[in-house]
Amino acid sequence: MKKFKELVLSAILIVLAGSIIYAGGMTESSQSSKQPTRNLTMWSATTFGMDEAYNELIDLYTEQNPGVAIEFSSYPVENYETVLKTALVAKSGPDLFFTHGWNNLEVYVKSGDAALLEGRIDTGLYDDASLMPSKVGGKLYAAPGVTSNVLTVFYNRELFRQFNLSVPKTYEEFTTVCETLAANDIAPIAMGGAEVHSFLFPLLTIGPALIPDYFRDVRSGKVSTLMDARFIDLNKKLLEWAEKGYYQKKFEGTKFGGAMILFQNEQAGMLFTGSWDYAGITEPVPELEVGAFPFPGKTEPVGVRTVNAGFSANANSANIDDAISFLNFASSRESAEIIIKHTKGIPVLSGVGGTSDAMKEAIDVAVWDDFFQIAFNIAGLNNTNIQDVWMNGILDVFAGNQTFEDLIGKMDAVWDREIYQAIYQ
Amino acid sequence: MAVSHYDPDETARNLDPAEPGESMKKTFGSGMKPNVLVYISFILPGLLLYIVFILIPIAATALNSLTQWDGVGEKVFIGFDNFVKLLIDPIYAPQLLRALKNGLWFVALSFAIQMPTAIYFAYMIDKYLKIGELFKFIIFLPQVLSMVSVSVMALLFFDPNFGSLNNVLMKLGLESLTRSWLGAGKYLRMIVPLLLSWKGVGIPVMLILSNLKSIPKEYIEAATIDGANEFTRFRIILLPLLAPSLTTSSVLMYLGAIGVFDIPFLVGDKHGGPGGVVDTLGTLFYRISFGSPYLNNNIGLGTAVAVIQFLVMMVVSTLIVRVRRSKEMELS
Repeated sequence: MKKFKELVLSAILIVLAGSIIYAGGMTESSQSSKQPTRNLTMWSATTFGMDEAYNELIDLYTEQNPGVAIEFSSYPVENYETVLKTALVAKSGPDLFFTHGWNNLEVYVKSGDAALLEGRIDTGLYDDASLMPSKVGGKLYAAPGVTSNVLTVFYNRELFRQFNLSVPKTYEEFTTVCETLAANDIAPIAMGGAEVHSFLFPLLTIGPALIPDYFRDVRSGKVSTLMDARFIDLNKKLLEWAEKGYYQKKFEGTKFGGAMILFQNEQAGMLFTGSWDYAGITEPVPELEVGAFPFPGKTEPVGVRTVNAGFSANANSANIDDAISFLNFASSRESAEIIIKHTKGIPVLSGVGGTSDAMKEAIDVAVWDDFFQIAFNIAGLNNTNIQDVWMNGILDVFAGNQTFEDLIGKMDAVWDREIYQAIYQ
Repeated sequence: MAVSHYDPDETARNLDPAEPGESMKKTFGSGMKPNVLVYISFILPGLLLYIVFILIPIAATALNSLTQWDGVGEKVFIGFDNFVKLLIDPIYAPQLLRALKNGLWFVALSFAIQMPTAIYFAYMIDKYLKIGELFKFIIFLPQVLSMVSVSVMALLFFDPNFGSLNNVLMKLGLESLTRSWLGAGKYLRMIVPLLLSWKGVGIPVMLILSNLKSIPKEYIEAATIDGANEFTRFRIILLPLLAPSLTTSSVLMYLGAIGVFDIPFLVGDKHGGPGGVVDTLGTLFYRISFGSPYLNNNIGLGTAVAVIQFLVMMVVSTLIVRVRRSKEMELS
């Protein structure tokens, strides 16, 4: 009797399992005729508005190309490169992937993962400067970037009005703004001193404005050392501002996010960061009146910008033609409008609207420099990155463990001048 | 009424593989020696998992440390150049030395905080059994929190502008005591071991408690009769007999402190905080291997750091066990 019961139970279980599998198979087969024939995956680092922008672009593209489906995924900036590289090494990478261009794109070109796009993407709308991040060795390996990134100084318009301050046009006016705010118990500059890039952004913002001649001399080859008094004094400005009380109290323990909150809470008057943070600053506090200005130079303000590259196509993709077709679509003026609408960024193409008033202020500049060039963000000797050396040592300087001369001396010792001059001259 | 017959000799024969009894023969075959295939079949699944998920990754890491590799391109074999670079390069050698020194500092402080605390808690829980259950729960609770949760809580607590600590001090009129807790090296290098100890003390307490419970009460009773006070009983009788759990706890504390990554990374940052005071082998590995989104990464060099960390952890923990075991042998 017991064995009979076991047999019956086993039979019921087998029938149940079989029917579930059959039903699943039926579901799959009944849907298969409606599914697109070609599926693409697209990966990016998470930035504000990017998901919405590309999902709208994908919807438009797939309406026009019903045989294609594209799945867009974004990952936190800190993890994105690791996730992407792991997938590419395992040959399971996406068909389309984002890089920041320049030497970051070069890594994927050297590994054979980024497909050559020269002659396959219509770049007629873009000038040579905006295509530079998408090129390696003079050839196109990424779609043109449609947003420009600008380093700028965000300021609180209400606080400026309250203390009768205007946007500074000279360095002396900037220090007057700082002194006035400090005298009224408002931190002049919100500083996330616990994180390294909080110091990097001001340095790159003020550099081309205060010592444009130095960067010109370096690019022309007239000067080939970082141990130049101009560059050292520029770095020392960061420490000087701390000593003058231009940062909020206890800035050393504040993360960048905390500095942003201080600015949003109107406890600080200014914040040095990039245009990519504009939406992140203003969206949570829409009533905050935010403006932006390029840092005042010796004779005029100097803007610092760069263009990210657009997406690259995976050279090993089974649907490379569809991937390149989408990249062409994403490089159009219509696509640029959609991207700017969601990201609230600064368009590369003139005539593309949607930029905020603050960003219009930030780009109201006659003279520009490129922040990848001034950051010396390229490989040094023995595969050491110079900016990496600076970032590893800047907190040591503020902790009093080394001087800027020590730190810049270390950078200078590993600076591969040949690579720099080959790229930028 | 039937009485079951217990033959201790039969039981002993069954338990002795050199002289198997009938039931042993039935289980393991009719030969004098047990069937080795049965042993292998029991350990094979676990062994395979160990090989695939532990040994092979360790071997792969060791091989990667002998290459120059950015994580996606071609691996170029460079021998021991990565290790030489870590030991003598003016950029990397100071960072490695600093990470090792910080690790040893965390070990020393964690040990100094956790060991006496764990012994005290275990002793008190054992002594006051009724309320001990509640304290066991409270003490073990941080253990179940993730390192990330602990770090985020610490950030919210110690933030100089929005953190609870400074806000409470200001509300109490003690603004002069507010500090940049996470921005000053002298505070940050105390906060990290404190967090490690708070989170990690649960397991040593459990180990020592179970060791305490295994000590025969007759020893304590005999000492009491002989006139020994509580402290003397603890020092002369209990403490030496806690040697096994103290050895295990020491190893766990050492490994936890020298291998820490999450808390320094989140509370400091990947550069080790102000002056690199909480830079560890883990954050050094992360910084070199994964760096920043914009800079080239050096997986080969990073895995060399990981190999050094592995050797430091393995060699010292083996030494701790050997030294402690020899002491345990003396006591027994």
